[in-house]
Amino acid sequence: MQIQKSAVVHDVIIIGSGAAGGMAAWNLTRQGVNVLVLDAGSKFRKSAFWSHVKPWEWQVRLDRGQRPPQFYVDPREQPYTFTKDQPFDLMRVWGRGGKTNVWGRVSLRYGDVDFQGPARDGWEIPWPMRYKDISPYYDKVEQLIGVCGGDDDQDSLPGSRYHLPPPAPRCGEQLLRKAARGIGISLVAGRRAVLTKEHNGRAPCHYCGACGKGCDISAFFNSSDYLLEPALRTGKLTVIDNAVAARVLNNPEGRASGVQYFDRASGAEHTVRGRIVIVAASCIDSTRILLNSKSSQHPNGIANSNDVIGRYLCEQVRFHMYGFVPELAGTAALNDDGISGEHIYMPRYNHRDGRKRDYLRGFGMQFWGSGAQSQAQFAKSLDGFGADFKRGVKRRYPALVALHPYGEVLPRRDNRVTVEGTPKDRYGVPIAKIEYKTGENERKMVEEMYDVADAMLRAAKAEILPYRRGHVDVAGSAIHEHGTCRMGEDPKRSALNSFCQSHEVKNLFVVDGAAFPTATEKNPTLTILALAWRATDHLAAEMRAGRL
Amino acid sequence: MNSRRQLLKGVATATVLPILPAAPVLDPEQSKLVAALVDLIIPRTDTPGAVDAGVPAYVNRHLENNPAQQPRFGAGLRAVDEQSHLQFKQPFAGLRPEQQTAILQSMSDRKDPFFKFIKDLTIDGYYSSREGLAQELGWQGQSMLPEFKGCTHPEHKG
Ligand SMILES: Cc1cc2nc3c(=O)[nH]c(=O)nc-3n(C[C@H](O)[C@H](O)[C@H](O)COP(=O)(O)OP(=O)(O)OC[C@H]3O[C@@H](n4cnc5c(N)ncnc54)[C@H](O)[C@@H]3O)c2cc1C
Ligand code: SF4
Repeated sequence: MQIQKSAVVHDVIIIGSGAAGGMAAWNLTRQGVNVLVLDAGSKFRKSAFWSHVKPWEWQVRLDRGQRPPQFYVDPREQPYTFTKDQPFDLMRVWGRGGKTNVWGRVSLRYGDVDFQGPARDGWEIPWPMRYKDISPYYDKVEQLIGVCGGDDDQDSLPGSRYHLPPPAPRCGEQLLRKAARGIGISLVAGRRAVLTKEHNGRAPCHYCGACGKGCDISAFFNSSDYLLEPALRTGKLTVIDNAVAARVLNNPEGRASGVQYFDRASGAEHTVRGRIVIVAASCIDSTRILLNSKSSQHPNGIANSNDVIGRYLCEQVRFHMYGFVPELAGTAALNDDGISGEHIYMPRYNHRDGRKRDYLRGFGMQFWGSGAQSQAQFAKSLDGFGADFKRGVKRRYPALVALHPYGEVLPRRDNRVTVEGTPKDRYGVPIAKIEYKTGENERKMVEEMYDVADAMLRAAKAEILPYRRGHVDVAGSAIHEHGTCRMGEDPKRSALNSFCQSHEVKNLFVVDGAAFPTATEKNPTLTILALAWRATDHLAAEMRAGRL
Repeated sequence: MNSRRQLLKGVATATVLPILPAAPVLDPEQSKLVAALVDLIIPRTDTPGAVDAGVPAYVNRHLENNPAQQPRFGAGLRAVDEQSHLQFKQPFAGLRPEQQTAILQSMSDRKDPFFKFIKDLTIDGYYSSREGLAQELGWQGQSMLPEFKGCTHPEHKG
């Protein structure tokens, strides 16, 4: 097939329009830079969302031939592979805004406990920055997107002056908080990118609890509405939808010179040219693109002569524990939707109590799914049947509390993404293979995570739903992939500097979670946004100075 | 219990359903048996039961959409009837309620996988129906509210 080559040379080409790419596009266009965004999907139309469709209306609509928006990429369309005994669940949203269309909105600042953790315990490289370098960007991001939260401030979860009011806790959350306090654990107001009041002209949340199906009024941050739309209004942004980037191209000097992509529908091959290339396709897809970008100048994939790209994949270990608090058992169910997901959070504290631990790093805890839900999955774990069973479900239903501890997984050299000898996708591009194992450190941490979750439920005098101790979700479930194109001071051990700029190929940037040297126990998107903002400030300054 | 990931997967599979309902998977005899089973699992009390909430149709639909599960489901139904013949010389659907309950109780006690399967389907179908979710459990979610009051009980705060 003929390759369609465009002669235009763009200032900057950005691959992807999620949190990372959206922020890069917004921040560059407002500084006058011409940007081309390649997005593997297209816009999700709000009018087609099923946000307010009740559970029993789904089937009726499906029977009428209607379909909810297809947010998630079907792996049959875009496969990836993993080693047989180590399955990895990769969740991808291709389309404008990427996963921010459906994300959980938990927005936590990383602190020096995170940035300097590796320097303290000696496991792998530290971040090439400190909290003070990023905190001005956290401030700016929070003001831009709107994050609700409390006024607490601690080393593992630095505070903010810019939080919108936190939503009131639900009864179950309040009771858990009290119980946790009783055993010396502090649960704070959750921090979520949900507008609990009007913000920058955007309408506030109406507490419908439908966030996971997409918000039809954009009352939580998504990159498409909050970043791409304003960027488009500057007239400086061009977006090519359904452009599946395959490779970053380079010139004879080895510098990035453009991108090869395939039209998602027709499969037609295109190339576009640019002075700067920013990769922001989400950790695994970005890594695949970089590793597939082979040339005589970059036989190991672009900017990868030190064999760092693809390695050190890290995510989080997570499990779920459920209980029923006695104060609420048998009461009338309330509307517990709120801003959907938890209104409280347990920041990491295990580094504080002076106790010696036999593992490194730490864990936090989330509580989504507490209170009256739009299903009663817990009933499957109750024995019996019949009228007693039915009464038992009803009695427990309002009393449900859900605990989800998230623990950091250490970066390891052999946890990696490769494209060597893998099958090819429909465009003839090698797919990603994910090799990922957790080890002793995680096993020991998970032990303590079980102890803490169990102790919290006991302190609440909750009936604990039976669980299998030691069990963790399949890898990838936390949807927080990091590490495969990490930043660092040492160009031999890292791929990027602290501005997400390649050490080796100066006009190449990677601004998504791949740039994180560690996974931490926290959700990354606020930090992805802050880092992408910081990186593109640096990039714009370098362009203005004529260095790029 | 389902993780968020599994719930998302549920949504994903729900989206590839065929456009029009296909012919019923279960024959009339099997349908009768399914109705008897799901109604024993979640019976009508002062609120609607599984049959009132349309769970048999839900089960049928589930099997339509997951043809790979049909043979095992069919075998499970046959085993219930065999047990019923063995114990009471009659098909299950014709037994007295206490006889039916006895058979189900023994399946429940020995953690019979087919019992678990149909019970889980009953839970999915019933508690996503208007009768099960709104009427029985009192779910009022997915409404548009001007404010969220949260917990208003001082005694919960402690
Ligand atoms: C259900 C769910 C809950 C979550 N909850 C939270 C949470 O509570 N807090 C939190 O911080 N994070 C959460 N996350 C994770 C969060 O969504 C991601 O961290 C964030 O979206 C990452 O931003 P990104 O730009 O790196 O990737 P994405 O948002 O995934 O965007 C990737 C972009 O790249 C494009 N793309 C991909 N491949 C190609 C290609 N080959 N060519 C061109 N374009 C391409 C896609 O179309 C998309 O625009 C959650 C995610 C999910 C799915
Ligand atoms: S709960 Fe709020 S943020 Fe979530 S979908 Fe409803 S209005 Fe949007």
